[in-house]
Amino acid sequence: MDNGRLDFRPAPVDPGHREPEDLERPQDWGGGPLMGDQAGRGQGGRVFVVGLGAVTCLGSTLEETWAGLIAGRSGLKRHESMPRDRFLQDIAGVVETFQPGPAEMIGEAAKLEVRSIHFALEAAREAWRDAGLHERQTPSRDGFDPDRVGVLVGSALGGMDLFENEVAKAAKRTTLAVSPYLIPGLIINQEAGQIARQLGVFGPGFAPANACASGGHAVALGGMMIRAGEIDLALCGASESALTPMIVNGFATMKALYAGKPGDRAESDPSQASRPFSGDRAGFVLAEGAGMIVLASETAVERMGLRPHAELLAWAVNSDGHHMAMPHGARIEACLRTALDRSGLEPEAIGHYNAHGTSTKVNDRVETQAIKAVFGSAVSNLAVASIKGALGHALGAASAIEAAVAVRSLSQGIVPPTLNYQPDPELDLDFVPHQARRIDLSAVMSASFGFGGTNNALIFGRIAS
Amino acid sequence: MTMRTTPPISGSAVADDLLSQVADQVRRAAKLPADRIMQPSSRLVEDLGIDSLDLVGVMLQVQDRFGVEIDDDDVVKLTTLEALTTYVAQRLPQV
Repeated sequence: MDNGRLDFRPAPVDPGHREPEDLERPQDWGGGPLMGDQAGRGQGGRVFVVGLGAVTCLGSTLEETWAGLIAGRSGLKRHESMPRDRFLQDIAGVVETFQPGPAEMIGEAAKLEVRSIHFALEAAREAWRDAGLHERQTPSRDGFDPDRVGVLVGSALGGMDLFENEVAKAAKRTTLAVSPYLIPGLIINQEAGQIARQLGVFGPGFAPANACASGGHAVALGGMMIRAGEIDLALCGASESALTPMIVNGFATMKALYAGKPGDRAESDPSQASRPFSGDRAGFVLAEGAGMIVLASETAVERMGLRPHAELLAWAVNSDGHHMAMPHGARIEACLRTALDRSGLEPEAIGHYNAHGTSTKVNDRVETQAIKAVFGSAVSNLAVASIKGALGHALGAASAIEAAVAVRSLSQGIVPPTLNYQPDPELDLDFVPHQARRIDLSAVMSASFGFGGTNNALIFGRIAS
Repeated sequence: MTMRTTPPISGSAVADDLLSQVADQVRRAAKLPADRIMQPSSRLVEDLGIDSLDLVGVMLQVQDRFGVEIDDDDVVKLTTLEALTTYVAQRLPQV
């Protein structure tokens, strides 16, 4: 890139690089910058993506998910496990192939019958392996310090499956006793807690609970904490499984969920129910899953020899201050614009926008307007795609999955399609309909917006090979 | 999902069949590893490694499964598998 920011070349030894002369070194350290050297200075170091993981209705790994996405497959269908006498909608994105690991492997997590916790563990392990890291890795001379690894993993709704199961059990009891695992399973930070336990990392843990923006917020938080020098590595993401009667019916009742009119094209083919940016879009399809991204400081990448997939160039997080559930175009626009400004890139440098694109009437219109306002004339060369056509909407996890997929798009030069697209005269962008497209990308943006009026935008830059 | 079966345990004063059923509920509630040896005299906490939180879950599972009520004050006395099984046997609903 002409501004040099995207030219990452591992520099094994760079004497004098950000090294204050007066800092004492342990005698046996072997020279080179210490991981903690940046602590508290907040001098704006670079942040890299070094690991990715996902569990979705297209597969229990990011690889399977990616293969399905670029082949144009959908993971959405009707489910007998969601009968219409209990669920107002039976089309969903269910992770069907997944089984939690045995107690021998996952320890106390086996006691927590909360699917989102198990998705989170699975995706975290995948991302950690992808980063070339090992579970319960010991502090080492190459700079790995488990006290300086943050786990920033959130969820919109947490253990709703456990909650509803326990309510049903309690109704049959003659006493008021409930499972001792109810509370440990319900707290949103239990995903982060179990990941820390499984991986053996002891830095700060946070659980962004920001509705459908949770995962993107986690990535932004990871970037902030690394740049501030608080941590060297951040496992960021979100996990969600809330396909319960109360949650499905709650979304359906507020008219957010897909509800086709008689004769709708999804009647004969349920995989067409989610159709982001289409003229006949009729609400989102609820899904479950998890997405994880491992971020690393520049120093960590250099010292530990990590292989970056991309650079996290910029992020922005803001609030609508507007409405409990409706998006606010002006604030979404401000969020995208702030991220772009912070990246130092011209709009033309961003070739792909991985959209929130829920397939609701309001979101897709408001988001399209915001994209046009921010990208201006550069929008003609912007490939906008929503993978929710294939994966449905996994709430908090969706933005983490989408960020991971956006990074994969960047490194592979392939944009997955927006499935089931039929033009809407009001929404005149290039939505990459039906088929994946090869595009040489140097930077991508992924954005998401949550109920409660909370937005994020992330910009990733390609690593020069 | 296949259910793990508890190895038969015997030598107890209570019916072997009920003992095995109780042991199975304990194993499942506390997610004990499949290879954890369970004897009638096994102490729930000291021998089986069940912590105080798990113990609440074990008692709840046994209540749900066998339809008996376990008084909170009695839990401290139910230290072994055999004691728990005897307690359940004395309170099983008569068919």
